[in-house]
Amino acid sequence: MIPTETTNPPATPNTAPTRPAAQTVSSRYSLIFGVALTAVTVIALILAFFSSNFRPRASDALPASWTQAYNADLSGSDTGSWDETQGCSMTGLGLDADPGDDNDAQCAFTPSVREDVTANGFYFVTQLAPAAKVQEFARSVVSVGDISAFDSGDGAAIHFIVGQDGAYILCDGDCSQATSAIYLSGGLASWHGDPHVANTIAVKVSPDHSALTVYVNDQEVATVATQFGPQPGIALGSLAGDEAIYTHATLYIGR
Amino acid sequence: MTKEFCRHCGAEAPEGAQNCAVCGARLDAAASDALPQETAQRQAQRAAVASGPSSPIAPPPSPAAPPSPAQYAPYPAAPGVWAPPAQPAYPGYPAQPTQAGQQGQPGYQPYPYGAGYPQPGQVYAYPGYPMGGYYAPQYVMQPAPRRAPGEVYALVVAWIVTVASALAILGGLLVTALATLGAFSGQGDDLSYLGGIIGFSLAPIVGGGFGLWYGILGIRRRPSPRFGLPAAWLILGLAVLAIGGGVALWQYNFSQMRSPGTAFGILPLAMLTGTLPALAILAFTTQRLGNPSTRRHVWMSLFYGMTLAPLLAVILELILSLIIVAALRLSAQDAQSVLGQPNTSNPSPKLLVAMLLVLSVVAPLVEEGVKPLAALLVIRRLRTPAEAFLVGLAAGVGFDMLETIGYIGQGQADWVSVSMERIGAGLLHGVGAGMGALAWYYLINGSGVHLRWLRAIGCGLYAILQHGVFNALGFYDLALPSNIGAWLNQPFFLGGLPLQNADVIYLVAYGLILGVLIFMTSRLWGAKGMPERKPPVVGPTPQAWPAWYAPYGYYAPYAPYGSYGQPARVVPGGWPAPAPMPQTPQPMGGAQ
Repeated sequence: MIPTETTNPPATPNTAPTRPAAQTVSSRYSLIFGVALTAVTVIALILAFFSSNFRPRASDALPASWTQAYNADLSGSDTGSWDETQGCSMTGLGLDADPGDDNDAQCAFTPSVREDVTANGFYFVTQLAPAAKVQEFARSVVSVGDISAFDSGDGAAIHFIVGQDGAYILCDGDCSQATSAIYLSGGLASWHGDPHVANTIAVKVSPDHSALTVYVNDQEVATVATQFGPQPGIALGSLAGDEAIYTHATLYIGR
Repeated sequence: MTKEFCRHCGAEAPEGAQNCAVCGARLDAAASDALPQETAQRQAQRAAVASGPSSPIAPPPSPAAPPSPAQYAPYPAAPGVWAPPAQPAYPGYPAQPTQAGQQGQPGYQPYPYGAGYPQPGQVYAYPGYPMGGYYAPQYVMQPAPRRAPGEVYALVVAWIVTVASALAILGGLLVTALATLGAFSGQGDDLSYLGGIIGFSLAPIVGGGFGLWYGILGIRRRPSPRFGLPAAWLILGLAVLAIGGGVALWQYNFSQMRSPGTAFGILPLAMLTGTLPALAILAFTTQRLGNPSTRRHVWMSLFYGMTLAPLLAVILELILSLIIVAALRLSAQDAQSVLGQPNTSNPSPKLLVAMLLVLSVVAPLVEEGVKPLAALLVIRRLRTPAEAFLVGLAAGVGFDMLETIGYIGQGQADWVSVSMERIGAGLLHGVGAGMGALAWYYLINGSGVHLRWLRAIGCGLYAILQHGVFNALGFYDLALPSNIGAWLNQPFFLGGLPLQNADVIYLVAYGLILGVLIFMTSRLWGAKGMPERKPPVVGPTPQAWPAWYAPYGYYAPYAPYGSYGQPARVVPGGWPAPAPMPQTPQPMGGAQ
């Protein structure tokens, strides 16, 4: 007898839903995917480990013949080495550059201005307090050159300005687009963006004063060609409305 | 001569053709496996019949099994007259010997092949066939095969995907070129910059490549294999390895006063720590639901979530935020806090209201609205609630990958702490998008589902509510007592790596969402889906088909799920068995 209606396969009774067997997927596809994913992860780990060597490091840049001329914990008392007349003050946390909302703060390192310590090149490194300890937005400024000319716009000093989020600008003069040279700007992968971790900034001027190199956390940011005067000065500071606290400073000089 | 018919659309295919001229489906594959068996079987049958029954109990060719259409040929002698090709006379069927308990059957009379139909009137009937013209209905001129419902729509979608993917690739290449220029101006060592660029260059390029591939396959009506991923525990293990390795590397560099590494060197690991947890969630869901969808649907949904969905979300959120800023008459500084980086150090009450509206109302509405749109585009092609949930979840996972990579980049050297804090963000976006897609499924495909509207509205509301509550957790210090709020704001250190006590809140939230995911996948696993759709009946289509003839009775919208990645199930007629067709319309079960 010919059936009047046939389903293939015959319909199953409508029972309570049960868990169907998991459908199989191409095992080769999953295997290749899994192996590739594992390989990529391992390669990424290796790459990340060795990525510290992909750019020059500050610890490799210090010539062995240079000597340490200054090393101070700025959270202690160190009156006299830093100009506290332009928005800076020594506090228990360190050298606090808190200029208020109207002017920038500039704390000149007086030996670099009054003494002939930087004539043969120098390497200066400073450590910042974690941003969580700063009341305002943490933004630090490291200036090298004729620091008395800060904001003058004549290009005599070069400033490295970096915020707590790692955004930086390397510029001279008053750092305006119209009258200054903006060497570089952007973000820094070497910058600790976490507000509870301290950062270090280092600058190095070659003995012939023809190059300035900036480092952040031991990693080179940039090298710019310049021509400083016979005795480039060093200053720390912050911008109007922002604040920076410097906890440690060290200076190496060439002979 | 042997005719072939496309198993996908039913169109007649020229002999030797590789692909169907109508729908482009391949004619080999399963057919090539099945047809030789069919031919061999039938040849053996014919040979047995022609030579007479070698055994008295050899089964005759059943009257219920007329020649397959694959063997029909035009009548060579009389054009325009439909007649079977000339064949040796049917030898008849000998009488069956009487067996115990059975009555002997008389034999059939020899059947005169090649007689043809009478020309006048074109009465299609075999004269003198003793079965009373049984074959007559089978020889009715078959109407041209028509596409199953939704086939044209699928073709249109495939074209749209192809064109949009090509544009995405071009756009991604353009952004890459601009980003390269930016890298030379000092942004090359910026993890935040590179993380953002990934979203606007790599995602469109890779996603566009996938889209182009699957779009072209869709245009050619090639079925997509079943979607699957490696075991979820493997991907989870890799995620732990990547994050653990990142933490160890951070500790080592920090303790040695060593450079944290360049952005290009760190970026692959940072991306993996953002994507692997989300991928593990996708694999976990896929495996718990029993691999209910196709690669085309899931991958395209994921890349939609990585590309178009964030773009739409950013535009819509900006517009709505501007409306809120204007409505509340915020100052320029407050407006900047609302539109840019939120600064909750000392906000005014008006600013707090604006930020709460933006984070807990606008963002959930917009993001949970745009993420399931990829699933909505193909919702009529999704057969089960589980499939809809998975396709929606894939879009959420893609959305999370892009967002998390962006956030991780903002951490710069401390990217790994951001990775740890966002380890469960894929749950938030994925489950939300899955619930959104489920809501659309019940709205559009849910005819017959018990409490259909309640399910749809409930799923949609859950997605928005979950996101809104999660975002509102950021205001914990305003809602909790001051001492608890102060404690939550304190860091704790994993070695030297700082994390925040408030991360505990988010971990609890992730755990709750994981519970929802497990619950939903348990309920959806056994849920029934849509019944097979049939093409509209045209002309005197026979009402009943023999079992082996079922592929010509209706056309599945695409290859049955059971056949993906498996050898085709072959029924005695030699054709792959179609998907089971219920005798009575089955209600689309939701989470029963």
